[in-house]
Amino acid sequence: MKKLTLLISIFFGVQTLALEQGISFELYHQLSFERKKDFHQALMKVMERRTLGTRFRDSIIEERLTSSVMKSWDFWISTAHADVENAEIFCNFGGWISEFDDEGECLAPWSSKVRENSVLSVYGPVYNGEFSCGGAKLFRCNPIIFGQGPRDGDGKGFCATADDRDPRDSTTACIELYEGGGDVETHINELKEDPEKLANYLGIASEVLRFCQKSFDDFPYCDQLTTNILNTSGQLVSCENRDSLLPFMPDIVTPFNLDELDSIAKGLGSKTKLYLEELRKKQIAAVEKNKEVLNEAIESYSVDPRTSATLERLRNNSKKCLIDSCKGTRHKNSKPSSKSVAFCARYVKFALFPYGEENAFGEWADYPWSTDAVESGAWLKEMGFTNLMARPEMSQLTPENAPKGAIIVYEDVSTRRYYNVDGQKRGGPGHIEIKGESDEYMSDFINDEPTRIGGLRKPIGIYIKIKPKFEEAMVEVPEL
Amino acid sequence: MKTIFLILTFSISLFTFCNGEVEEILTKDLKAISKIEKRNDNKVFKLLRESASSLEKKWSEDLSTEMVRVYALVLKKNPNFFITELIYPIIEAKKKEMKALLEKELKSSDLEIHKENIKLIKRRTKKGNG
Repeated sequence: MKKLTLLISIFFGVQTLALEQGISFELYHQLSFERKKDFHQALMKVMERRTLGTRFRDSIIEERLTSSVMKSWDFWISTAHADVENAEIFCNFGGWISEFDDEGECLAPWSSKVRENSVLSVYGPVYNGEFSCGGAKLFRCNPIIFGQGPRDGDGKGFCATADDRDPRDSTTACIELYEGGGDVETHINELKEDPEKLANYLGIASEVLRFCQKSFDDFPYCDQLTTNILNTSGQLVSCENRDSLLPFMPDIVTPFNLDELDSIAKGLGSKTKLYLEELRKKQIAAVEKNKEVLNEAIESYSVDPRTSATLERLRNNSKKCLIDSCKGTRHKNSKPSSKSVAFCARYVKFALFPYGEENAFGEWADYPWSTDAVESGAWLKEMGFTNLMARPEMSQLTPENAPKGAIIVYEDVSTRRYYNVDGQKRGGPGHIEIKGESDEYMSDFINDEPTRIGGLRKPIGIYIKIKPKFEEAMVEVPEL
Repeated sequence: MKTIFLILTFSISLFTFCNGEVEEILTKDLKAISKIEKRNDNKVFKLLRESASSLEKKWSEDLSTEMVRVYALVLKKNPNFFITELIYPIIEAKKKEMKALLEKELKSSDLEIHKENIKLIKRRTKKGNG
């Protein structure tokens, strides 16, 4: 009974805690003195951990603690994968990057918690079944750090006879194997030939330096591991191959390992930072350029005679009962243009694929039968339409400010009917409409506003047709 | 045992209190509406949706009466099926109670439109299109 009481209390306690965690920093000033104290203490712990885990010089720490830190911090947060999690010190278990458990022990790299940690995946392959040595007390040393193993082996790295739950035993065994039988020269050449693998190596190496600086006494293998890594790193990076590594570094470098990377790889950390800043400038320039081109493309589409003809057809049809669309209503052959008969997809398709009419985007023969509104993106793309909502340059676009002639596709929010749209689960049948004038949204009826219906419909696509000359004028936006 | 009983009683009353508060706010907001100015007033649409959702969780005479009154005003301005869709979940969940309220609040011509809308919603849900 006591246990049950305890469980219920924990349940309510956790709920309270979750509510507290949701508090924003803006509300910090509204906290009570006691809560502010708790918050401050937690913050101090994080700061202490971060300071212990870096080899920044005092001058750099000082610099980062002044106002300029915010700019550089924002930059890293928005450009690299760096976040507060990266302030964590990762341990090293047989060459594999791993994490500490609650008792401060380094977790085995084959444990599911480590394998499923997405932050660690940037340091190369994870220790999955592929790396199994096929027996108990056999541990696979990370091939990125210790090479591919003996020549007559499987090429996946040394298999060390060691307690695979003990980081000290396993890592020491790996170091001994590498020093005793490892083909260091081949290992170095392999890394030099594969910049991605080399970037992984440098990432692990920089984390080893951070980890060993903090935990040197607890993990005696740190001494030898650090020496090996410093020796190897010195032979890996030269001024000639440094630039080829840059595209692979953004995932690896963080504000916390910058100095380590600088020291082991001839200023590669700082160079990557500059590279990222350059890349970001290029990205902004490309987005601006594409925005200009897209605006021209939109203007051209809006005045295209086919757009005008489509809108006119839709305007006329909205007063008619197409085929049996008015069945079950009071209307027979005609209806008020403001009245919907729940056949938006049919009316839009009739306007885009008219029978025997010129000035149209599609032909009657290509009419997409049996498709509901929410699925329209597929046939629109087949017709050569582009979803502007999917373009980063058009992130401010909404149905309200969409251009004349834009085709807006919505999903249903409260529904039991689901569709697979571009691999995503979408509610249907949804809605589709074409924007005419600024207060004219047309489908099987004419609405004076986008048909959001208090949130019952949610826009998932805004399509226009972009002429090839505009497509060609657009530039590739570099990814960060 | 006593502690468990106390905790459970506390949590149940907390839930009831919270839901009661929501119901009160919704009723108050609906009561403030006497006229519908626009064909598409997303705030009013949202209020109707939330009221229907709250009624699904806990039926309330006050809230349901107010919701149907505002629904009648909105339907007059915009007789489309999707207006009925806003309160459709509670129409389905509380058929008898909602029928009585709708028949009382809607004029016969509006009631016809309402019934036609229900047919459209059912056809749309079953056969699709949009």
